[in-house]
Amino acid sequence: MTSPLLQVEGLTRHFTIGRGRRARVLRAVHDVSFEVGAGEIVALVGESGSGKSTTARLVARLDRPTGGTIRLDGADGLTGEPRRASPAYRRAVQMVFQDPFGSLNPVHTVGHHLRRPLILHGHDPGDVADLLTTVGLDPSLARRHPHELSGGQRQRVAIARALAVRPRLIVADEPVSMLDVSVRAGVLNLMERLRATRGTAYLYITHDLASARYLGGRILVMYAGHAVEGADAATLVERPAHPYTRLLLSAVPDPRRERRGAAPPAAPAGAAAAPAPAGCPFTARCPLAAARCAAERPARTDLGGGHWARCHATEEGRTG
Amino acid sequence: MAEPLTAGTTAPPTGLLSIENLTVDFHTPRGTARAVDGVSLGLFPGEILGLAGESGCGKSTLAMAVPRLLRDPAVITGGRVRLGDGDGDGVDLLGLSDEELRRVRWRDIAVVFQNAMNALNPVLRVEAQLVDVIRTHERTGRREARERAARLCGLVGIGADRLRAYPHELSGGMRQRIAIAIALALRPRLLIMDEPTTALDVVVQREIIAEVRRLQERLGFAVLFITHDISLLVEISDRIAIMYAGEVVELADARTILDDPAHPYTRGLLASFPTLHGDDTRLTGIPGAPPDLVDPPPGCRFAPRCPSAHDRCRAERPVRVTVGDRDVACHLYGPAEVTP
Repeated sequence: MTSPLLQVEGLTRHFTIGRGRRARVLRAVHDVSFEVGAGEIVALVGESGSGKSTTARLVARLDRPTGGTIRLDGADGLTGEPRRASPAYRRAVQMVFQDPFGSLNPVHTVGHHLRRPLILHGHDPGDVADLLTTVGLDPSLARRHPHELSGGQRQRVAIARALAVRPRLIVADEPVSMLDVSVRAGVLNLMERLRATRGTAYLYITHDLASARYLGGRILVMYAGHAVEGADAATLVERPAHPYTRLLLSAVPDPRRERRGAAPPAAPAGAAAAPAPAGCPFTARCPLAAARCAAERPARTDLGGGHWARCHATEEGRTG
Repeated sequence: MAEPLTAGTTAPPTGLLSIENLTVDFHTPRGTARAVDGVSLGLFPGEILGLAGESGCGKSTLAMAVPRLLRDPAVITGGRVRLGDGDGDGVDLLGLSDEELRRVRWRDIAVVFQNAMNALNPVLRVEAQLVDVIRTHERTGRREARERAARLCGLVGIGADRLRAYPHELSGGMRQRIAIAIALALRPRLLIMDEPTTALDVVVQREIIAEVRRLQERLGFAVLFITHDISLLVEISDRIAIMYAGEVVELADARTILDDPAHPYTRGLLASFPTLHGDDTRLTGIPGAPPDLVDPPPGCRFAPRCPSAHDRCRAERPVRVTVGDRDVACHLYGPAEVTP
């Protein structure tokens, strides 16, 4: 059996907040496992503070995990490359950031941004025009500076820069959330086209379930540092199992929903109360919570077809 | 599309607020950008009017011009903003002195901003900020003001125990609820909400929206709700105005906007965002970018990006006309070309 492109197991990142006796541990990412196959899109969906961006940074090796393994083509990247990722890893895994205004250097031209990775990784620096064409931009833009471009154009440049080293996986952290509505679809379509034509895989980080559904692939729902449910996009949206996923889905603006009668979500909201370290992180807000939920962390319940959830109620067949 | 066509109507409906031919210019080193270009828009008492458009379309500028909260380099250069007073013509907010305006602000028109942290004073407890608003505008004893502050907190679903909290001790959703409580403190007739939920997570956003609807039905104020998120707007609004490059290009009931959009820009917007349970149609988005308002294109401002543009669109600006149950500014629907 061949190993998947990216295999993440038990990924954990704890931050220590404060010092001395007042120090406490923030569990930003806790025991998260998933795989991304070649040419596959996996979306990490969650609210702010869910740990999705920290997971992205760990996978892109911009940060070091507290525990767990990250394997690329079956090879352990973390123990072999303790201080920083090897050039081979960095060639294979590239990152696109949320803010196309902050991720490009204002004093350099578009061409400079694209030539640098080409030269550093031993490619033909003349490929700049090709790269721009690939992301749907006019090659003449190479002479422009970032401030002369629109947000959508800048994000396309950021994607072109990631493509320069011909990566097999692009970690895209909210790549369209800062763009105007009318240009978002174009960037999402570009990502899908690159997947179809070049076999680029994506780890797509988003708070927007609808865009994750649109891109297809698999969706992993994160809550308070835990991965709570995973399934292919259609299954997750149409047959969610975890109470948190259901809450999230009920909150997404849906113009087709009946208006005035729309019931607000059942669960209480507000900041997620600090969960009992042992139990399910969603216990405090969960309409199906039982005594067991606060005490014991749920294991993965396999629901068939690659669909799973970490939920005692799901495991016990209680659906509320 | 409905056939009947009435003559060009720019006259706003009578009601709570009527914005007439309002123009706002930004004086920049590169020249003058007309951010709001002759917009007419009316609000009925107790309705929620959604204002949608992309960044830079002028929606926030338009909304902030109403209580005259614009700052340099934005200058109101024309038009009227009439606030109805129950009889007659109402009062033109643009003609008020600073002192008269001060009495209208908050008592008649209150504002909720996108970032509650910026709207709240970080070194004052929540209670002090509520009391402050009440006592600044009304002759009220400290004790009565405190009691009203507690009631206001209850109104927006926040326990009285949070009155002693500082803003940084509250979550983003709770801060926005406090901002709404402060806005409602004097029972205004109009609440302007500028992207009030954009900085919040979806679950919290849904709760705030439900709260606004509940309060609006109970207290009867009108809302001018501004956002770029048209799917959210369709859920909350009674009517929706779509803005593009400083103009209102379409105005209709929320249902009409969703089910039967007329303006090519509205159609493009609706074809730009994925829906959760929608069919798997490919989204198209809108090619190109909004025009430079210092040097806008002649004719229709959307023409360079419009799939239906023809010669007339590139030469002559469409006026907003009423077609069936909507207003739309587009040559596809407007009166035939006038032959001299």
